[in-house]
Amino acid sequence: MNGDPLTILLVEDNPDHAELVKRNLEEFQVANQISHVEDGEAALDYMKGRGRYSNRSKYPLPDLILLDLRLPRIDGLEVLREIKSDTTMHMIPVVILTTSDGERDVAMAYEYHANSYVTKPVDFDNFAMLLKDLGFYWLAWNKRPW
Amino acid sequence: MKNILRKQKTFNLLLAGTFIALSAGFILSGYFYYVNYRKEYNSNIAHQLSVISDLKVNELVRWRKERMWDAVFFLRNTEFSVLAKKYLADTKDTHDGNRLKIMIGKMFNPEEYDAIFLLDTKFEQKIVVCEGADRTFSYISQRSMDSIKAGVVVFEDFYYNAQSKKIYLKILIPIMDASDNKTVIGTIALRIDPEKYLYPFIQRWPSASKSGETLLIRREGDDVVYLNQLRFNNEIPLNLRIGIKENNNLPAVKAVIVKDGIVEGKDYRGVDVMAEVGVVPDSPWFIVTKMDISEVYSSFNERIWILVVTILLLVMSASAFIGFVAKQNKVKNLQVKLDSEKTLRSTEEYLSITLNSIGDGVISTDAEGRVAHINPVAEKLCGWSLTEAKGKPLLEVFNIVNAETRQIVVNPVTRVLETDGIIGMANHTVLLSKDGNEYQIADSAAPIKDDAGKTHGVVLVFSDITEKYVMEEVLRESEERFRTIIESTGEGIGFVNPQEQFDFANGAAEEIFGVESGQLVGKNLHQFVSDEQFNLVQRESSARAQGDKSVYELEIIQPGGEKRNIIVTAVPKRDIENGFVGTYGVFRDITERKVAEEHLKKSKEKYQGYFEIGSIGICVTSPEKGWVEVNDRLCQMLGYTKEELMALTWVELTHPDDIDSDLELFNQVVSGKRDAYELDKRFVRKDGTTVHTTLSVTCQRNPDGSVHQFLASLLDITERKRTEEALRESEKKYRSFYNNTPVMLHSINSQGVLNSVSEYWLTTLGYERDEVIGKKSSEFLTEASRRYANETVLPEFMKRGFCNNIEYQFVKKNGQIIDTLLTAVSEYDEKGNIVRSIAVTIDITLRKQMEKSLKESEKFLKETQTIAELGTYSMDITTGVWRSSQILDSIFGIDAEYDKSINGWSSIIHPEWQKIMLEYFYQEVIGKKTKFDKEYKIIRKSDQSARWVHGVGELKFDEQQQPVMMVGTIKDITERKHLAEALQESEQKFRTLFENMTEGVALHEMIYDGGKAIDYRIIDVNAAYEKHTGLSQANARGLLASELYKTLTPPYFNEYASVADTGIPYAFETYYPPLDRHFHIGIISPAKGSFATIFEDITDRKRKEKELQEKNAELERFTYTVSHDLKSPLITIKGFSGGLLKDLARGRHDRFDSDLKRIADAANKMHGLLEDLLELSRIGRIINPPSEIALDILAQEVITLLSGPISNGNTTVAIQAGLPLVHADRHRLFEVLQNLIENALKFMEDQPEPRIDIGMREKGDERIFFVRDNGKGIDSRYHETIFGLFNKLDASSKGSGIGLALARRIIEVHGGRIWVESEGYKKGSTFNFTLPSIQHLRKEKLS
Repeated sequence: MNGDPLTILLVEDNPDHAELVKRNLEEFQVANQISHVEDGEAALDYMKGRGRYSNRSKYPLPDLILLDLRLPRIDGLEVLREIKSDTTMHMIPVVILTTSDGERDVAMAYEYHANSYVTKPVDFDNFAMLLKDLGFYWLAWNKRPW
Repeated sequence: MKNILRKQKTFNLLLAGTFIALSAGFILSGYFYYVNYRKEYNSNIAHQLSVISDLKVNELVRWRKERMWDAVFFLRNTEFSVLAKKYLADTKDTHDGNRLKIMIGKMFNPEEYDAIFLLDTKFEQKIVVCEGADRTFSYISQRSMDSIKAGVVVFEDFYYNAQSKKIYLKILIPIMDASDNKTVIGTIALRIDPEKYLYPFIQRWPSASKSGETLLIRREGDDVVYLNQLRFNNEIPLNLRIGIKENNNLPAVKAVIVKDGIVEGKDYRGVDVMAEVGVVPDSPWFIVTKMDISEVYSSFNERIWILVVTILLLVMSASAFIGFVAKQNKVKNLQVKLDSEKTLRSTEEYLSITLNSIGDGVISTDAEGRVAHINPVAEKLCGWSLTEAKGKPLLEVFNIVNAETRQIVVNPVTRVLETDGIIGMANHTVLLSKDGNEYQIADSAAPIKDDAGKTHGVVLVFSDITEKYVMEEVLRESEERFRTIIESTGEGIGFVNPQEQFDFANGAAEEIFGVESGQLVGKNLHQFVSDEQFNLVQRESSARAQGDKSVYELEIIQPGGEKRNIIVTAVPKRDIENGFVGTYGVFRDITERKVAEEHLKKSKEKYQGYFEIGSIGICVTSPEKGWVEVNDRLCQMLGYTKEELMALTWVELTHPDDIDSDLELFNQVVSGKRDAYELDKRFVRKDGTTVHTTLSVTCQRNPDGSVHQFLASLLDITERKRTEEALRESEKKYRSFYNNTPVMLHSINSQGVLNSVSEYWLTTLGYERDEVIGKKSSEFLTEASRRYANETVLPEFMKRGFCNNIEYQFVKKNGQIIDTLLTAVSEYDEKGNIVRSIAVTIDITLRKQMEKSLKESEKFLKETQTIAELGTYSMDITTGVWRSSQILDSIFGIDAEYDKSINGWSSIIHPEWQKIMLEYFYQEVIGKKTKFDKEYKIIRKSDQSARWVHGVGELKFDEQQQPVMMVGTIKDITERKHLAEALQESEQKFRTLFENMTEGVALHEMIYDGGKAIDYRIIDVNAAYEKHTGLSQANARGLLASELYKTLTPPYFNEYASVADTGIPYAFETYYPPLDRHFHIGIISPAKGSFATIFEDITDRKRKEKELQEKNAELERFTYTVSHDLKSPLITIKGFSGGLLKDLARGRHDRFDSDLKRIADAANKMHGLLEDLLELSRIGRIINPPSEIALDILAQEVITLLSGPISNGNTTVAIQAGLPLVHADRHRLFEVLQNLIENALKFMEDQPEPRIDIGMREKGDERIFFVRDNGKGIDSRYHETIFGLFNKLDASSKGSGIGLALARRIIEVHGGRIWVESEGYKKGSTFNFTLPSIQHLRKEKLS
C-alpha cells in the first residue's frame, strides 16, 4: 500500500446499481476515486482517453475495473476483450460484476482474460461484504506489477 | 506289247511313289498335328487352370467384399449405435440386450457367420449371437485394437483358436457413437468359420480331377502358410508352412514371388504339378490352382497314342490299298483281301491266286489230255483264254513243233502217261501261238496222282526260254545260212588279211585262182599277181583301211601260168579293237562270163530248195526293185500272196523311215561300189502292221559289171524282239510277284513237306531257302499252333481240301513269334486225293497289335468317360430305342432294365422341361437335322432328385439323308449350375439390397493418370441415388464424374481418392451447393482403385438442427433475460432497502426520499418487464385467425394513434399508395408497425427534417415492406442485437427494449422475417419485413 491515490472505474448501465457500488466502496474507503461510465463505448473512451475523457489527470487509468456485461452500445465482453488486448492496459485487473450467472458469460469472460467474475448478490449484506472484500483484495492485498 | 510292259513298269513306279508320298504325308501331318496339338493342349490346360483360378479369385473377392459391406452397413447404423451405447452402459438391462441380439441377427445372415460378438471398449464380450462351435472369443491383437479404436474395420485373417481348436476369420467393426461419429463405444466381432463356406468352396474343382487342387496361402515373413485344408495332406490348416528361400520350386512360393501366371514345379507332396498362381486382390491371400503333370498329360498321352495308331493304320491301309491296286493290275484275278471281316474266299479264288502268281505257263489236263486249267501266262503264250481252252485237246491249245523240223512233237500228256513220271520236253520246241506268234519254250510235265498213285491228269509247266538261247539260235542259223549261201555262190569270195594272205576262200575263188580246193587259204595274193599288180593291191588295201569298199580290176596269174582278168570288189572288215582286220573280197572272172552264168544257173537250182525253208524270207529282185521270185515265208511275213507281191516293188513295201538307208546301199551296189549289204529294216504288211527284218542282199552282175539281179534273205525279227522283251518282263514279273508280294507263299506236298516257299516267306521268317525245303511246314509253328494244326486244321483240310483264315503263330528263326492268317488250297488227282497244296499266309502281327492298341485306346476312352463322368448313348432314331453307358445309367439313376425309349427318356426329364425337350428333340434336332446340344433338368430316378445335365448328340444319316442314329454324351452339370445359381442369387440379393437402400449408393472406379488419380467413373448407382441427386440412373452409369457433375474437379475428389487409395473407410457431412442440400457421405473402398459412396440427404435434419439451435438461442436469451434483467431491479430494491435500514440505524435521513424512489422505480420497472414478458410469451401462443388486411389503411391507423409524438417532432410520415393486401393477424401487425414507427420517432435525434416512409418494394417474387427514417441510424454492429429481448442501444432511452423483440417474434410467427438496414450514424435506418403471400399460406395449410 503506497501513497498513490487508488482509482476504480465502474462500468455500469444501471444507475441504481452504480449508486449501490459507489456507496459501499466509499463506506469502506477502499478507493480514493471512483469513476462511473454507463455504457461500453464510454468505458473504452475513458480507458483510451478519448473524447471527453482525454484529461488523464481528471480521468486517470484505474487500478481496478468493475465491469458489467450487459451494456448498451458495446457489450461488456467486447470492452473486456479490447482492454485485455491493449498492452498499455491489459495488466489492469478487470472484475466482472454482473447480474448474469450464465455459464456462457462466465466462460467467455475468462476466455477474454477477465481477472475475476462476480455475480451481484441480491442480498444487501452480501453485496456490501463483497464490495468490501473485492476492494481490499484487489487494491490492498493483491501485489500489482507496477 | 512292249508299250504295255513299259506302262506296267511306269505304273508300278507310280504306285510306289504314291505309297511313299502318302506315308510321308501321313507321318508329316501326324507330326505337325502332334506339335500343334501339344501347343494347343498346353495352352488349353493353362487356360483351364487360369479360368478356375479366376473363378475362385473372383468369388473370394466377392466374398470379402460382401463381408466388408456387412461391416460398412453396420458401421453406419445409428440406431444400433444408440442402443449399443445404452446397453454397454448398463449390461444388466436384458431387454436392451435382447433387442440388440435381434437387431444383430437381422442385420447379418447367420449362415455366413459362425458367431457374432458384441464387445465393449475393453474388448470384453457382452453379447453372443448365433453361437458357433463355442462361444469363447479369442484374443485380439493390439494392432487390431488400435485400428478399431481409430474407427477402422478390421478383417482378421485366418487364425487358430487354441480353445476350440478351430480356424476362424474375424471381422471387427467399431461401433461409433451416434452423436459424434468419432468415439468408439464398442466393437462388433463377426466370426467366420471357413469350414462352412470358404474351405469347401476353395476345394471345389469344376471338373472331375484326380489331382486338381486349389490352395489358399499367405506370406508370413520368410514362410508361406497354407490356409486351407489340403487335399493330400491331413495337416490342420495353418500348420503347414514352408520356407520361401529353401523351396523356390514350390508353386505356393512362386505365387508369392511371381504373383501371377502359369508355373511348373513340385508341390508340397513333392509331385510335379502345373499351377496357375495368382493374387487375391485386397487381401493377404495368394491362390494356387494346380494339377499333377501326370494328370495334365494323361489325356495328352492318350491322344498321342491314338494319333500314332491312326497314322500306323493310315500307312498300313495305304500300303494295303496300293498293294491291292498293284496286284489288281499285275495279276488280274489275284485279290488278297486283308480285311479279316471279309475273308470268305472260295477255293477257286485261292487256286487262281496261286496259279496266277506263277510266272510260268501252267496248263493242267485231265487223263484224256483235255485242258482243265490254264493260267494267265499260259493264256498269253498260247493265245487261248481259259474259257476257250477248257475241254480242248492239249495239242490244239499247246501247239508245239520242233524248231528245226517243224514237225509236230509227241504229245507230252501221252508221254507222261506212258512214262508215269516227270518229263522234260525236247529241246528246240516252238510253241505256235494261236495268234501266229512263235515262242521257243522249255517245258516239263508231271502227272497228277491221287493217293492210290493213279494218274488222273497232267500238269504242264513251260516257260519262254531265255533271250540268250534265242540269240544263239538265230546266230547259229544265220551263220549256217550264210555259209551255205557263200559256199554255193558262183562268185569267188574270200577273206584276205592285211598281209594279203587268204584266210578264207570259197570254191569259186579257188577256181578263179586256179588252185585245188582248200589250197587257196594260207596263200598270199602276191603269189598270184605280178609285183606291179601287187603294188596296186597294196594301194587299194591301204586306201580301204581308211575308207569304204573298193572295186578294181586285177590281173592274176594262175599257178599253171594262165592269166586271168578279174574284178575285185573289196569290202574292208573292221572290228572295234583292232580297226582294219582284213578284206572281204569278191572276185569275178570276167574272162569266162559264160562259166559264171552256168554257176548261176546251178546255184539257182540249189537255192530253190532253200526257198521253202519256213523261217527265212528269200527273194530275188530285179535292178528295177521289182520282185522276181519270192518264197512262201516272205509272202507270209509281208502278208501278201505271191501274185500280189509280184506286182509291187520292195520300195513300196518298205517302211517310210527305212527307205532312204536301203536305197543308198542299193544304189551303191548298182553303181558297183559294193556287191552286198545287210541292214535291219522294216516292212509294212498288207494289214498295215510293221514287221522288223534283218535283210541281207547280194547281187549278181552281168559280165559288163551291171547288176543282173539281187538275192536277198529276210529274217523276221519282230517276234525275236517281242520275245526278248516278253521274256524279260515275264521273268521279272514272276520273280517280282513271287518274291515281292507281301504275302508268304508256300507249297507242301501231301505229307506236309515244304517244296517251295516265296522270298517273302523266307524274309518274314528269316530262313534261307535250303534250310526249309524238305521240312514239314508245321515245324515252323509254335507248339500250340502245331497242335492245333495237327489235331484240328489238317484233318479238316484233308477232308475239305481248303482252309480259310486259320490263325497260326509262326516262329521266326530268331525265336520271335508272329501272328498269321493262313489260307490253303490243295490240288487233287483224278481220284480226288490231295497231291499238294499251296498256302497263302498273311502276317497279321501288326494287325493284332493294332487291335490290341485299339482295345487299349478304347479302354482309355472308357476311363476318360468315367473320370469325366460323361455318359454316352446311341439312339436309333426310327425306333427311339437307345443304349446307354453305365455312367449314363448312373447319371439318370436307372438300371439296365429301364425302358430305354423316347418315353423312358421323357419320363426322366424334369416335368418343367419335358415339353421343351421333346419339342427341341423333334423339331430342332430331327426336324432341322442339327446337333443336339442342350442343358436341361432331369429327375434322377434313383433318388428323385432334380439334376442338371448337358446333353450333346450327333445325328447319323442314311443314304437318303434321313437321320437314323444319334450318338452322343450326357454330363451331370448340377454342381456347376448350383454354383452359378448361388452366384446369381447372391448377386440378386445384393442388387435388391442396393436398389432398395434409402441411402444413395454409387459405385465408382478411380481413374489414374501416371499413378495419380485424376477423375472417377460412375459404375453403378441405385434408385436412391437418382432420388437424392435428381440425376437419372441410366444417365449416370458409365460417365466420368467430371462429365456428370460438370465440374473441373469432381466433388469431394480428394476424400474419395484417399479412400480408394488407402482402403480406410471415411465419412463426413457436407453441404453441396449445386443441389442446396446437406449430405452425409460414407466412403468405402471394396477394392483398390474403386470406391463406393453411400450418402444420405440430411438437409432436413440440418434445417431442423438449425431451427433448434435458434430456438435454443432464444430460450437462452429468455433465461438470460430472466436472470439478468429481472434480477437487476431486485438488486436495486434489496440494496437500497438494506441501505435504508442501515441509515435508519445510524440515524441518517438525508437519503431516505431518493432511496425510496429508487426502490419504487425498480419495482415498477420490474412490473413492466414482467408485463412485457407475458406479452411476448403470449404472441407465440395466442394469435388471432389471419384476415386480409390492406396495409396502407393499417399504417394510417397507426399514424393516427401516434399523431401526438409525430406532430411534436414535426415529423413527416408518408405512406406509399396502393400497398397490397396482406394476410395476417391484424392486431399483431398493427403492433409491429406501431413499434417500428415509434422507434423511428424515438431516434430522430437532431434531424431537422424528420421523415418516415412506409412502403413496399419487390425483390424477385418476394414483397418487402419497410419503415424508413432519416434519423440517427444504427451502427452495423448492432443490427442483430437490437432485436434481442430487453436490449437497448442507449441505456438512457425510454422503453423496456422489448419492442423490436416483439416485432421480430410477430413477423416470425407469421412466417416472415425482419431486419434492419442502415449505413451508419446519421444515415437513417430502414426496417424491412416480409410476409408470405396468400397463395403460399394456402399451400402451407394444405400440406
